[in-house]
Amino acid sequence: MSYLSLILQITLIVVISPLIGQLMIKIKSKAEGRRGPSLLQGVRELGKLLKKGEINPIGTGSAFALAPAIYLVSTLVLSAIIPLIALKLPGSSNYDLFWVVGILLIGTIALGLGGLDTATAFGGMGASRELMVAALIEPSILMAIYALSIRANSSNIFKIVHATLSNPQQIASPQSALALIGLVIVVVAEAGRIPIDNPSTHLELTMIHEAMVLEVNGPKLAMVKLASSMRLVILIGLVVNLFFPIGISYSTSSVGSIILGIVALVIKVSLLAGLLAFVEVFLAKLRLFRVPELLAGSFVFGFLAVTASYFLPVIKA
Amino acid sequence: MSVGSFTSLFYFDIGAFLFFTMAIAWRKSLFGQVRLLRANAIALFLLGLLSGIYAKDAALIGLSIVILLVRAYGIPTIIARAIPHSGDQWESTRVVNTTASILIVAAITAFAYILTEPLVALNPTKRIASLPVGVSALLIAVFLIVTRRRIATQLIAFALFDNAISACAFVLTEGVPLVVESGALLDVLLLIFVLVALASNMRSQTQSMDIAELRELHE
Repeated sequence: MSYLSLILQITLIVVISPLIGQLMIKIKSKAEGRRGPSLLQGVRELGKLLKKGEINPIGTGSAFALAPAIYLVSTLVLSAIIPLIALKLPGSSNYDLFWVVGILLIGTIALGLGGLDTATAFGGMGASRELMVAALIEPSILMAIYALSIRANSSNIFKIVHATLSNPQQIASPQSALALIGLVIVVVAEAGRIPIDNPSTHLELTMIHEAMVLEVNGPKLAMVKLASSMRLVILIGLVVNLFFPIGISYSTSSVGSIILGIVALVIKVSLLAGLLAFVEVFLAKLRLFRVPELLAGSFVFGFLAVTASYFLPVIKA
Repeated sequence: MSVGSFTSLFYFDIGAFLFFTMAIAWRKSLFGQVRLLRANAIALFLLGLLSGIYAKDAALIGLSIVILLVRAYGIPTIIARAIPHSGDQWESTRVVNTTASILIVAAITAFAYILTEPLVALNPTKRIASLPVGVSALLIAVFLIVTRRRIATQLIAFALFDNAISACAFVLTEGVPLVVESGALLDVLLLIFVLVALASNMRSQTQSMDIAELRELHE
């Protein structure tokens, strides 16, 4: 049953992520007074890309060929090591939050190398920007993780979620609030959303992620698109479960609680994704030179969360 | 109110106080900074109110209402008059840029924690454990006074300095006596009045408040 629920979790992420991505577009369109495409548009686009042939730019080598696969596989691994629907999954006692950072970076770096391999101006520019953002994200995500692990006396994700679930009033503390703000900024940056990057435009001077994958086409582009939307869903799911783990299944033995876990995850992720999309309507993209300011801000939130856990100790019930 | 719920509310509020202090160092918009100063003063008011309700002390509740009126309404409103309503409402030239400032703010917080550790050790209750927040707000205010050029930000930092002193008082001693507090408030109020009047006078004569651009008053 435990392996079955692991497979179920990965499949769930693969299936819902194009839908959630489309839901965000839909909500944004509605808020701007447009109708917006149907929720299945993302799936249709993936199907269209999969049917297309492939063109490899002249002079590209294995970095370009392998990048989309590494990006997708690293994202699939990520979806297997995070408590999204159940608190016990095979190997769950080994999975640290630091793994999440490392695996996220493997995908980003593979894609960055692929972008550089095309030797076009856009590929290189996009890759350098994406890696700059990734390098700035890393310290703040580590700080936020550190703050959360003080609370649970462990940096194991499953233990942190378990500690939150068994002592929910820990959430109502300033250090959790600060860590939450820091993590949300990091998630927005990592997923390449407004105000760091705008996934819906292909404007030369401002695009980051889209510039890096400009030469990727056909089934490979389908892989990159699917993996990007999966990353967003996984990160949102991670934040949601670190702070509001309501509904997550304690064990993998009963079918009912697993189904409840799935339903709760889908509802929570859709709500937070919808909220993010709605807030994006009111924001403009930051200039690239101001991105370090925002990420330094998120680092400071993480840092304050850590220091606050020393001078505002957690109150046990 | 039980001890547990009082402490968690108190911590939450003092966390908000620290957050708004840090946000003042981050924001560039002068009106935004004034709004953050208001929020900071409201967090201070809630600190007083919470302590007053917890200790069942009517004088303390009265004091916090005075704080609400003067620090969250009066002082920010006066400071907002020092901001030109047409023209530059942004603090674009700083001695230390924004990214460096917020990182320094983080370092100041850690420094304040180390600095107050011996003080907290004298009487380690849960309430006094949050003293580093007050001290770091104090140091952040000094940092802002030193590194900002616009008169409005310097006034905001000065008001912040005073808020931080009151926050330290609430953390350490359940608030200062009403006489002392009202004396301090009048002092700050008078100083801000004078500075705002001076600022608008100087602006009407020289079109600029930036010391680097003043020619006549140069030595």
